[in-house]
Amino acid sequence: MKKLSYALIRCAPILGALLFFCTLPLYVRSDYILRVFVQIGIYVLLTSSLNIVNGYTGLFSVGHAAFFGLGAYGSAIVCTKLNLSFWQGLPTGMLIASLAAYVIAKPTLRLKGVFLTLVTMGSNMIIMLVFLNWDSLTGGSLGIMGIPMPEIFGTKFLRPLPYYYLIIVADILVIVLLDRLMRSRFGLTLKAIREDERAASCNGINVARYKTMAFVMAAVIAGAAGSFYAHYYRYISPEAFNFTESFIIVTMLAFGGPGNILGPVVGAAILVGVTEAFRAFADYRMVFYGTLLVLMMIFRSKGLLGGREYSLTITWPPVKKTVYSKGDRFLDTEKEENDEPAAG
Amino acid sequence: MTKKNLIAALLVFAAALPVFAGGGSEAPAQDSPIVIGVMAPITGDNAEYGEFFRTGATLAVKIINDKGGINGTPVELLIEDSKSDPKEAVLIAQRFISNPAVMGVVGDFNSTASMAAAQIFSPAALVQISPTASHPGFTAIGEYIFRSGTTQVHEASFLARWAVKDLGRKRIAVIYINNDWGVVTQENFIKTAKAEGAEIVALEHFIPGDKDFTASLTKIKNANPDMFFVGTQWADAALLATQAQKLGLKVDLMGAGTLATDPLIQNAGMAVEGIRANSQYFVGDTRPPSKFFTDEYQKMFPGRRPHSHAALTYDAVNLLAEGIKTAGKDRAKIRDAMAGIKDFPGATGTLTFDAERNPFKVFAKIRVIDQKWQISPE
Repeated sequence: MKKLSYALIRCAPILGALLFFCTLPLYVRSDYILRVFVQIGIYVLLTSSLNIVNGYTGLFSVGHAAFFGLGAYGSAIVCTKLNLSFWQGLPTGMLIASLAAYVIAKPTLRLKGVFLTLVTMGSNMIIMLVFLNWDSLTGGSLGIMGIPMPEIFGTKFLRPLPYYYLIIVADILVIVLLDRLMRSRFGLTLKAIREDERAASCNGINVARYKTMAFVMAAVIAGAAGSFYAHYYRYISPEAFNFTESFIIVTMLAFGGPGNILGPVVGAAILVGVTEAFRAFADYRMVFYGTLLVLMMIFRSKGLLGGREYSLTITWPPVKKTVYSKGDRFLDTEKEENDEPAAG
Repeated sequence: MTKKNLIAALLVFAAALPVFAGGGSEAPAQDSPIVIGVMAPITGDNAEYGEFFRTGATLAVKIINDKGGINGTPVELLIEDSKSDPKEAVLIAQRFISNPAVMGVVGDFNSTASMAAAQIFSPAALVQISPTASHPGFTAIGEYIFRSGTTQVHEASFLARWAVKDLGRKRIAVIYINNDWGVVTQENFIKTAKAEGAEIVALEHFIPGDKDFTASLTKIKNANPDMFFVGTQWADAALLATQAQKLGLKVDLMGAGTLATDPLIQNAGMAVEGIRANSQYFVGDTRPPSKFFTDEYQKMFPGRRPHSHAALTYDAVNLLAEGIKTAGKDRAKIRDAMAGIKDFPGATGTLTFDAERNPFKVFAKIRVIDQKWQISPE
């Protein structure tokens, strides 16, 4: 019982966030605001996945929209041509995105710095051009329309509410998994590569392999976001996945702070929120957006939450400095110390 | 402790977002103004076209209000910036449908944003009329989706009838740009031309980006046509005309409405003298509603040149106003009233909606005479 309650306390922030976002529609009865949250949710998936590559592994990819687009097109094509549902389109989109990421990553991740950046940008353009010119499959510049909406037990997703719950669950799942993963051996390896690639290599880490894994993992999540995007907007065309979209994702990540778990979330939420909140200023709203970016880079060049790591869990029971004696008597076990608060 | 503070701050921010994102809406009073929503790229890559939307719609509303509004009720515009981004378009669409004062929406500029928004408007039963979305499937998204610009289906058939029936040309050569627009244009032109009894003596195409058309033009010259139809945008048409002139190909040219711009004449000069095209609207248009629009536009926005996008937006607002005039403040009835509009005298031609809510227009027949686009005398 105590173990369970400790576990609950440890996970309190996650459970709190889950509870908050699940009950939000009860007191925010505006479809518009739910749609803003859905848009933030899509970007949280994209920024969090890019964070694996740009934040934790220390590469600089500016072609993330390619995998977003592959997920969207993969899912949309199988659903419209083969009459499949969203639940079958989603894994297809993720699979296609990951295969493409593997093919791109395998030969190019040996490149360094700006060369790698240019390659990611180039592959983004190539994939966009494939969407644009492979008419028979992708519909060319006309795009794909009539993408089916998701269904659960025969109920179609007609309003924004089910999309909202779907994206919230996906977001929290991805964030918690990434949090665990980045504190595991795998995550530590990625950070080692980021800090000093040569030192990591000297310690027996297969750098190319880990970079490829990070790249593919990011693509899988972006592919899932793409599939969701396709079935949410129900019409896709190539221009939505060109490299300006990649830059939006990079900007959100840089704004929130790369290399930690909360940065991408905060970056996506604030930048989508700001453009919507300043809608009343019409022509000038993008000025606020730009000003915010400039100020951020001047005062917090590592991003709002950058430069340190955050934990999603609370350490409980609190770790005290080890106490060996209490006045006149010595303590012999840790257990004795821990039991005291409960007894009191 | 910092962690907890941080998470708390995050939650507070998330909770506060809806507050400053705002958007509570009250039921409109009976005599409150009629609101027409406009969604257009006011900022972003397509901002220059968004400006035509804003000016066209502002002018239309000013003229309506000067005449006392719709059935005595003044009209207000609610202009929202979509940046031509489908993601923003969907959010704007949601704002419009949740705002009970909005009686109809004009927009968006590009097909991608228009179609994403149409997925929201159609089930919510609010009329959306796009001046410029050209995707053939756009109005098929739902019963509430209209457009005020014509599609290539109507335009190309109109040109074919003009060439064959009115001008009596029987040997026609066709060249087209191999993209969705060019293919639809060429298919409809040839279908109608053949039905009217003409023979297609040469059919050539090129891919976007081609600059040298000598091979195609030589074939066309050998086929000895009496009319040459160029299914391209103006930049390619200028090149085609200049190269044809160099090859000594002397034949009457005809092209789609997109050619009706001054840069075509500036680039090709005498090579395009006598070229024919159809037009929804051009600056020198002398049809009374078009001329009225041109004059009023230049009066309201001195120093600016009216553009067909502005004219199409102007017409879209007027069509919506016409629907509201017949139906009153009832979104569903406005749709029915608009779908029934016949022979509407717009700045871009006399307009009738077909069953698919695409407009059918009587186009102006125009021609380059003395290095200027003018109404064709034939």
